[in-house]
Amino acid sequence: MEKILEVSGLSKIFGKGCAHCIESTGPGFDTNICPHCGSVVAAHDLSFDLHRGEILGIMGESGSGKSTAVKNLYFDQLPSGGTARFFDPDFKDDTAHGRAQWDVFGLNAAERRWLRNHRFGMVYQNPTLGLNFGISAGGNIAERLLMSGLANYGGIRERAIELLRRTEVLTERMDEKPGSFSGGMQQRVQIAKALATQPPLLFLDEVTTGLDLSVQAAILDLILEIQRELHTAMIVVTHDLGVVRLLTSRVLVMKYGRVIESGLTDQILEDPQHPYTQRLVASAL
Amino acid sequence: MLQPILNVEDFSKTFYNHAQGTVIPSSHNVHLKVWPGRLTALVGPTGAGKSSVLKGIYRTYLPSSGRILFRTAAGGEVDLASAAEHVVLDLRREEIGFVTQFLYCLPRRGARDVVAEPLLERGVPLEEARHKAEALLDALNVPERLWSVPPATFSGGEKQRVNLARGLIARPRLLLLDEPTASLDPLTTDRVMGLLDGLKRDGIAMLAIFHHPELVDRIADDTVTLTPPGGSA
Repeated sequence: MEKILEVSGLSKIFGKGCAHCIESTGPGFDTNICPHCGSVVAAHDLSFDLHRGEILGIMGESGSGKSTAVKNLYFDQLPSGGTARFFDPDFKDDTAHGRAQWDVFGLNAAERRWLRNHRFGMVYQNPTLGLNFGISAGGNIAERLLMSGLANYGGIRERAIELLRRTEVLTERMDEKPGSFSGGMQQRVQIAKALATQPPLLFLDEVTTGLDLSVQAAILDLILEIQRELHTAMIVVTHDLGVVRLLTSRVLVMKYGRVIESGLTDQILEDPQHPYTQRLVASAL
Repeated sequence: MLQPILNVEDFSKTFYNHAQGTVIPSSHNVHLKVWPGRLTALVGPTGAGKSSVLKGIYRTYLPSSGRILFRTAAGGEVDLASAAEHVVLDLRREEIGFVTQFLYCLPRRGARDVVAEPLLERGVPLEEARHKAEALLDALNVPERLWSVPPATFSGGEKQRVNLARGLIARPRLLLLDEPTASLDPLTTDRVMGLLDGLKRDGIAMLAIFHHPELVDRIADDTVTLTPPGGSA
């Protein structure tokens, strides 16, 4: 399988930072807050790759820095250091935009917008981040289609209906605003919106957290179906070991901004090597 | 001269539990070979590390030492103990199958689709995959009324049959089996033995652990005896 993403040395520090931030934070110090300058080391030296159609998990407790990677890759935050290369599987020579390979952290605002609108998708834990609550469910999808360049009204409406049906949102409710939907339904609309442009790379940040178990199961099922049908590569951020086991083939374990262990998902869950992962797995199963 | 598909050299597995500060030895100094069209049975008392050998080969466990040389369909040799994660994942999808003792599957998916999954991962069309899944469920005596029901509510024996069907459906070149008949009745056990015989005739290599010694006598072509760490069998 071919590589779609390669992240190397990704770091994110909140605050001004100082010369001692890295050497005095991390799992060995039981904190990610620098005692010298008070900066927060959200992530340090994160490196991983992702193949086409693969689902990679990033797991850890809150504050471990697990969301930082996807937030930086989706341009919700700007990294303090590191590089990321995106190898576009949909690149064609004849288009004006686009290129075969992108230096994700070295782009200007217009280039970032193009990647967000055409190649990346994001589903947040909190639907208010991913959806516009002032317009209808169908309007949310139309908005994304418009940004990606589809301008024909009939075509947009048809595509929105198809996407909502695909994600099992009742299409007769497509003209209602998401605020009137249940949490699970809002999450489905968010997934439909993220998928509208058929992005080859999708980020999922705690998307089933806080949902009822039966709704969780349905969302996980939907995610796997999408992966199989569209061959979408995904990074799934979660603290839930069950989600990791069911969705991912490989996983990174994070604590205090560092990857402390990574491997095949079944290996990490059945034969964890790091003391922290051993404790995490022992307390969950 | 037939070449082994799998050659395990001096495999050992030891667990370190950091919280308790304990070292738990499992398999040690295991040597074995598995051949196309033959079934090798792992025998030995509980605690000898039989399952650890299978999990080590599949890389669910990280081997502590030794080499696990697998001959690929392309003719190359891969040391599964140290191969890159993506190499192991590709081999799991295409060439190496594992029927474990437990079934993990999506909560909402029916038994037929759970069984069909390995074929779908290889890109087989849905209808064809489902058709094959139904044939296997039937061969393993799973009643038709259960095919669309998620296995979460099944009995132990029913779950095991679904798990077996899922493991057998993709016809991997190397099949690892961990007590595949432990909770099956004699009739279904007979059917499983028949299926395994068929796989042998088709050239599939198998490494298996059986709960009952008489099954080893019945189906194994080779046996490898493991001893518990620090003692003799």
